[in-house]
Amino acid sequence: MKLQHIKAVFKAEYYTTTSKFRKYRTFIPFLFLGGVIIFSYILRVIYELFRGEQFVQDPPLPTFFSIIAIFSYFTLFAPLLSPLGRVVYDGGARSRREVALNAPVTARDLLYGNLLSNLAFFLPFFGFIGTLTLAPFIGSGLYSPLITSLALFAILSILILVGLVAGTLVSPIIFNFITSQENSQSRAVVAFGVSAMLVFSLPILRYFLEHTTLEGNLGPITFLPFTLAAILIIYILYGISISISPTLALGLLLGYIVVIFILGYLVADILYEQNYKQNKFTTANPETRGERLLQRIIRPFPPSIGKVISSTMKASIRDIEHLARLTIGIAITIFMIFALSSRGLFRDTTNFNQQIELAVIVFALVLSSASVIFIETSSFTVQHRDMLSLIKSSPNGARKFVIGKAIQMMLLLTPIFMTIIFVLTGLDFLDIRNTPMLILIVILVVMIMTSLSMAIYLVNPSDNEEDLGNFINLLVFYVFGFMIAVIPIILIVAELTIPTYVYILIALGSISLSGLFLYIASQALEEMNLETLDSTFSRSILQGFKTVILFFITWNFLPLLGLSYLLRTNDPIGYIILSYVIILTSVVLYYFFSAQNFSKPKITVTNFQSTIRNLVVMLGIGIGLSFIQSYFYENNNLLGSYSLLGLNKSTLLLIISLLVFVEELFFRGMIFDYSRKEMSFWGATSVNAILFGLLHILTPISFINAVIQTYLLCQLKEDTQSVFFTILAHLGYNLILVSILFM
Amino acid sequence: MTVEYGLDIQDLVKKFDSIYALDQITLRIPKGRIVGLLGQNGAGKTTLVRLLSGVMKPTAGSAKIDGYDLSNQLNDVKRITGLLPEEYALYEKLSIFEYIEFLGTLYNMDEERINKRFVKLATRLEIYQLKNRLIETLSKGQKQKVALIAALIQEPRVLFLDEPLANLDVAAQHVVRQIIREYKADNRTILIATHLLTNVELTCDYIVIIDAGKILFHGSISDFKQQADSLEEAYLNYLGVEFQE
Repeated sequence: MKLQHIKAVFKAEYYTTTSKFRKYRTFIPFLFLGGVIIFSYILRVIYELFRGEQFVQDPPLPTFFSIIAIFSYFTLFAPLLSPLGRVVYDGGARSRREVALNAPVTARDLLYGNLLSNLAFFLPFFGFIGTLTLAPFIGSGLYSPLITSLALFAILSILILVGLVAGTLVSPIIFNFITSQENSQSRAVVAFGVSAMLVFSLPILRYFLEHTTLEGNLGPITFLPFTLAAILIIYILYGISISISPTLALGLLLGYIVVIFILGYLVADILYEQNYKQNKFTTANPETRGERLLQRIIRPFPPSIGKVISSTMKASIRDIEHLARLTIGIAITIFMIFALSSRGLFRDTTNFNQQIELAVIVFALVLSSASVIFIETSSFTVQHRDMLSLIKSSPNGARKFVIGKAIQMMLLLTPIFMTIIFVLTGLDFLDIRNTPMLILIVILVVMIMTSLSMAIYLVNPSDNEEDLGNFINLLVFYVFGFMIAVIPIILIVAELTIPTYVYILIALGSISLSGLFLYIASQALEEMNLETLDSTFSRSILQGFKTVILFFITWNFLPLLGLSYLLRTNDPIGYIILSYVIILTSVVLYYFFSAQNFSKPKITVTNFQSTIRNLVVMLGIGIGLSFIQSYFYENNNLLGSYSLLGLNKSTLLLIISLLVFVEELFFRGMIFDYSRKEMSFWGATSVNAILFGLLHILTPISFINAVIQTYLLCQLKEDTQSVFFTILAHLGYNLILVSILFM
Repeated sequence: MTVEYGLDIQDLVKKFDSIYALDQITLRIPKGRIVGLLGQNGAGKTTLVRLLSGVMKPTAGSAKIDGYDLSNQLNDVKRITGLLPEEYALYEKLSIFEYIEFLGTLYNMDEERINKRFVKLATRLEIYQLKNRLIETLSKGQKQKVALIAALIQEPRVLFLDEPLANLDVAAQHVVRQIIREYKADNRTILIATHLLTNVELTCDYIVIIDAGKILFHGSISDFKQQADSLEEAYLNYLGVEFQE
């Protein structure tokens, strides 16, 4: 055993694990660490803001203890993801191992090198997940949230270390067992069996934990690593010793690590020898029951889509490593749902009513199902250009593939989540009244997130060379998932009652949004240039997306500062000025830094003619819509929002004129120019119209008015190439319309 | 109207950013020819194959494949062409038959026809007995055979083959050449992109040489050979490399 060998193996393995983020791999552990602290802190602040101290009061100690123990138990399964297992079982990696073993490297070097790489990547990763899940719900404890998070992270890390060391050793045995099945179907069954063990061990564990008393003896489970971790966490957070002393618990945990480490040294060579002997070819038997079931499922679909479904389904289920990742995702889902239910953390919280519970469960379900869906999408690799070229070389291949793959993912994932919900309901983890609602939500969420992930992967496909592309995909996906996930929490925590028709609207919205995503995905694949992996279509979608981000940062995020001023001083005029000054400054800075956008207005007769023509049309539509508006909504004309602030007429005129400059510079200047770089006039105008419309969405009519205005102003900008004229038109429109409305 | 040309290419251009991968390619190949597409690495062979099989759209220019226009009859073009990509584009987790069934269905073939074609081709290429083996367990040569079956499964009118003989043993190479000749006899067009001269000499009757996206030569193989003592020498002359015995 040589240190330099271990180092070399470590590097190779770590680079493989992090191959998608190659440029940033040095920072990954630090990113996770930083992420833990920031995320848990933000979540905590959100909860305190909405509910005050009472919501985050500590759960009773026994409950809290069992939650931590159960979570710790799940983290032990992390090493199932170990690349070592892949090396052993994977046909492609077999030659890699042959090369490695041919060099003067021992199996021990491989084992320890692999272990190091697991530690470098998975330790911060699972520590991150654990802390993120637990921290916001811990409550006050002895310390600030920051210290609490760090302590949680540290102890979970020790536990995960035990799991990783043991798992690195055990995973070859598990994978070996799976691959020793000659038939691919029985391999999948065995792999699913491992997943099922995870699912069903949860109630058993819960039974043990609930039938032991913390004051007395926990029984034999005291000495299990995950119980030791829970004991340590309770001691550090609350200063309470359970069953055995914290020093002993820590000593035992570290002892486990040493023992497994030595064991690894002793058996590494034997294990490898055994794996190496196994050299069976896996076959697919078309006559099995699973195969016949699959054929029955795809019968209602057109043959070509049905075949895509069954082929991608088989490819997905037969990939053991992929199944292992799915298993971890599922385990985390189950844990989160359990922990966040009224049977878990909130067992004795009085104000944790059914509605809040549902919101929290939906939150957990969306976030964790997002992970599972992303894992499933990544099983079809965009990196494989030649596969894509074959699919594209068949008639309508792109569309067939996208639809088929999306349906396959929904067919695989929906039952998995249904099973999770049924198991949890049946075992009294979930409230039975919530079950139908949850099933509906699961179907919608799986549908929308599946389509989204397809669109993301195909609009911004990145091969291994392009690390940033992959990273951005992941980020966008999770931000979107998080946005969906917090909706129920915000609605219910803010105590808004939701009428039934809103639920129906949400369902319809999800369906059409999924359709849009699938259209984008198939169009992106259809147009994709296989050399560069992009297309005009994809670039324009990406540009539109970036424009929206730019809009949110400048128009929503920065003015929040102005809002905090308003809350503190109760001065609306100051708020408006402050908010718009910030936007104005960012716009001016933008122009300053990209000087090519800033062109002097061409003072020509045609330009003035266009300005007047568009102004007249705008006024005609604006006045017409104002009357319709006042017919439907009493005392609520297009100026409704400002009369709410109780401003007098002259101030109103001043603010409206000031607004014109800000809005035009921002929307027809910065936003339009930016999106127009990669998009067609219609694309850029649509993005502009939607954003500008959302800003004016007091009523459906004011939204329509804003959309029409945007079109006319964008057209004017396109014709005259200067915001000078759009400012003129908009200013004229506002002043004339306001004067009419005042009469 | 009878279609005269298997490939009828007019001023085809493909630009990647500012680089011309293909620069105004004009080429007419009568039906029933076996065309060897020769060129150095990066000359534009794969790009041309991808454009003609409808996988990628050209920047400018037009092409007719067996009479179907690439720009407005794309699905017809895809229906009548078969493609063997540069690398094995195989679903590693499917068995040989499942994979062929998958691709055949994408070409709108029914089950019975896929079965019949598969049995015929797999028997000829001697991998029928492996039909239930997962592709990941196959050797390189066996994978190449599967990819070939995939390209031939729908009896394409025009066949695009990127290095079809790579990794094949001598017997299999012989079978593949036989199949190609049968396709020719049936008045089908075959385009073989390769950089192995011996393949061209043994198989093709027409030759196209491209370099840096431009056609250097196209014509019958006998015309080409007359320009020097051997095929290799003639080819090297075109590339501007000095030939040394």
